[in-house]
Amino acid sequence: MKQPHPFVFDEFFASGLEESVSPFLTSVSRRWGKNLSLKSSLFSAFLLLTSFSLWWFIPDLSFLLLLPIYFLMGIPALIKALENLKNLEINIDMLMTSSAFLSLIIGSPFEGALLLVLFEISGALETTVSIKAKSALHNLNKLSPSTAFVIAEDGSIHEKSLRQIEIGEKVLAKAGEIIPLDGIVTEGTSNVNLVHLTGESLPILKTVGDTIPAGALNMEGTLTLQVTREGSDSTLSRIIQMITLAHQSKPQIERWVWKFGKYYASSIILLTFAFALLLPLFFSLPFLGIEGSIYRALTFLIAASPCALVLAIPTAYLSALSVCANRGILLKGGAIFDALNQCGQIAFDKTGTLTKATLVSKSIEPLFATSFPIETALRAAAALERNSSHPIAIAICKLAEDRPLPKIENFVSLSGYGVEAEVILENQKMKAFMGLPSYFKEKLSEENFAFLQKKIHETSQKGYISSLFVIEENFFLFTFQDIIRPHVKEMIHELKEKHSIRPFILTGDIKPNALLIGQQIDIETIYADLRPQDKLQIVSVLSEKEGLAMVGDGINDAPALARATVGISMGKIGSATAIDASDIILLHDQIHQLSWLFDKARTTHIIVKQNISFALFIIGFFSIPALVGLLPLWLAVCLHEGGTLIVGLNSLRLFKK
Amino acid sequence: MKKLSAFQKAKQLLIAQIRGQTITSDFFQSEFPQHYLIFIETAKETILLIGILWIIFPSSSFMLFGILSLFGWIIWKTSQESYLGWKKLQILHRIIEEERWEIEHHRPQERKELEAIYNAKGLSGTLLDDVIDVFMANDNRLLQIMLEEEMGIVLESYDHPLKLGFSAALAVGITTIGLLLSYFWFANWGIIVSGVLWLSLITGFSAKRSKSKIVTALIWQGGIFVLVLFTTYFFMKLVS
Repeated sequence: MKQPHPFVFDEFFASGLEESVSPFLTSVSRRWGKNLSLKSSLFSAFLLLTSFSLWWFIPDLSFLLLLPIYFLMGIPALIKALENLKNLEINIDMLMTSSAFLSLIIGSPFEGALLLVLFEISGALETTVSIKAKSALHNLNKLSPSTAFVIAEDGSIHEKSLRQIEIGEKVLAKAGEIIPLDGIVTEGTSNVNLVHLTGESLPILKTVGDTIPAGALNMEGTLTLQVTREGSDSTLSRIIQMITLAHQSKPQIERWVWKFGKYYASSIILLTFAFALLLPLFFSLPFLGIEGSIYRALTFLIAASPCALVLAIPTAYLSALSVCANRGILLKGGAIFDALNQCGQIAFDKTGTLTKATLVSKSIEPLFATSFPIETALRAAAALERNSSHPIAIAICKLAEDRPLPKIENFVSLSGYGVEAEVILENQKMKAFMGLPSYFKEKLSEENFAFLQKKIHETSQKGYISSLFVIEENFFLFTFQDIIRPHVKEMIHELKEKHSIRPFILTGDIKPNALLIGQQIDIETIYADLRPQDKLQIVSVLSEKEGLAMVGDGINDAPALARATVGISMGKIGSATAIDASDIILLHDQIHQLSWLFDKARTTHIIVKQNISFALFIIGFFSIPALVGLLPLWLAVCLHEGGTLIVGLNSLRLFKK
Repeated sequence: MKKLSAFQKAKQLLIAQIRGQTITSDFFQSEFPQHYLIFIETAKETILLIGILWIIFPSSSFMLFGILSLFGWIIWKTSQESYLGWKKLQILHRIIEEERWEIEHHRPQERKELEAIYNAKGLSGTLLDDVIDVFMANDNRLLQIMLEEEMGIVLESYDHPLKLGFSAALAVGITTIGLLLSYFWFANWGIIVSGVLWLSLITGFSAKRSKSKIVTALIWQGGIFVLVLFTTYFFMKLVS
């Protein structure tokens, strides 16, 4: 019988208690709640069109059809407006809602309904896009393990929540699992990958007595750890706390359009009051009646309602978001385009961001004047390493692809040194070793060992990684390097030349490795040997002076990603923590698209400005004549809706790739 | 953390269950999906309303006033059922948020509540500890158990408010069309026969689904309708 799984509430809470993913509704019923605001606004638009068509034939039926529009669209808008009023917040939402209901009061229900429908459609489109973005992100892995396997005193193993595991208890970490809590190894030996925690390219061998931080990836063996820090105090938790603090100290990305909208709304409302009270004093107008100042002030308020601002500007952002999504770039909101425009500097993590975090073989250098064929040495090394998941082993096997590999016997893993076996070449058994040169400290002469050490040091100074291969008495030095992602150099040039953005590298790796990469892609400013708190510190300081975008992939990047003006993470290789902390996700890890993205942000900004200018022109041009009675209200509203259509079409230009 | 006595623990548990049951009571008295229940009850109310209108209005204007009144009735039932559905969903969402907060911030208290629940079910000692450890290991599992065991709320068992509203609309629509058409073709006898038939059908279906006695249900339901309609009739006569 299939074991029932507990219900997973994460998506429901991550979505902000969206009813379309409510755990209380039946799975069939949830479909009714999908994109509800968009469906109801589109339904209202249909009713409005029908009502308008019927107006000349059956006016009463036409009014009947307006009722559900005011019910479906008007009530949510009214509730929101009253809540804003309670908080003494005057904004575009309040302006639109008061215009819509005042239209109804002064006998222009169509205009009011039109305002409500357009207003709701723009809001619904934004909500739909942001829900989609949230649910796409939810499908990624959980941030960190929440349970661990605890070994009880009697040897039995139980799964326990991390919050309940105390210091001193023993936990089990199997191959491929993330280490749940900080601890000391009490049993087992394995390579652990810390690339997401510290940026170190290579896995580190851990054995009894070594400390391992929570969040490291246990690669091969099973480890038993004695917990040294509780869950709330683990390395991973402290990084997550850093992310939360970084988010809180980051200035809110307020869409500048909403700032403008607040001033606009307040101005229009004040002017309306002014016209209503002062017009009779300056002109011979009554207060009441269809020619009265109150009626005219209300028509001015309605004609000045910024439909273009509420519809065309979100559509500009939405168009840009859609085009980005089609290219595999996910943004968590339209306001991020504004933030990107503010960025004059960009920080890159190295391993996994600028590079693929995959080693590739650079060279095979024979040492001590050996005449053993390099090709045979390669095949023998690949045979030795073929069953290992270590990055060096993978690189060797990749180099030896399509070559016939010899058989091996008596394979031994030498803890702390490497691997050893007998390789069968031309019916002869040859003893072979792959690993650290320290294994030969006692076996080589002092002079030869010193030469070996010097060679290793030279390669590491150049930023390469090396490994020693010995077959019988023949020594070979294999060197490796991390591969830079394609087109990164060109992207860096474009950022510098086209967008005047200054790039630099922030990495937890050692300086020589960082310098090597920096030289290859023309980035001069490099900060290396950084811990997560160091990266956060640098980003905090630099982003105070000027907008800073940060690109990263690891858990160690997450606090800096959260604090940067714009955080950009790698979607495929990136850790879930980094993705969660960032504002933009490159779903296919195509970092070379950054130049295009900055371009798109600038174009979006230009189009939004064009839309606002045009909308203001239309409003100014038609609402003043409506105020002085030169233009009937219905014409003013129609012309101004026509302007809305034009700015809407202008926004669609952003679809151009 | 305040140590609770056994009585206080039991009282808290009872309050939590009552809260849960208050939310769920409408829908767990029967064994129906919610939208079926709403369809049935709305259909009965509509039959009753048409019956009352038939008694109040003279036959010449019954059709007209009947149809006009029922427009308002369909909108009322649809909106009200949806609104009540959303209200209940909001309450459930609030409960789950509160429970989640409790799990995040008062974990030891949640453990004690679980211990009390499962102790009451007969578990004790190391078995109880092991069971609680398993539940506490997974937050999603813990939340689900607290909702089900403490509150008596069952997940994935509610219909969307719009679906409920739609069921109500369908019930009013079918009932109204059926009864008014019967009146149109067969006058008074038509409406009596179709009303009785439709009422019997839905009452019988409802009784069968909930495994109650059909005859008893029919008689009680029929009795209530007769009581209401005749009361209206005689009051009309008194007034006029």
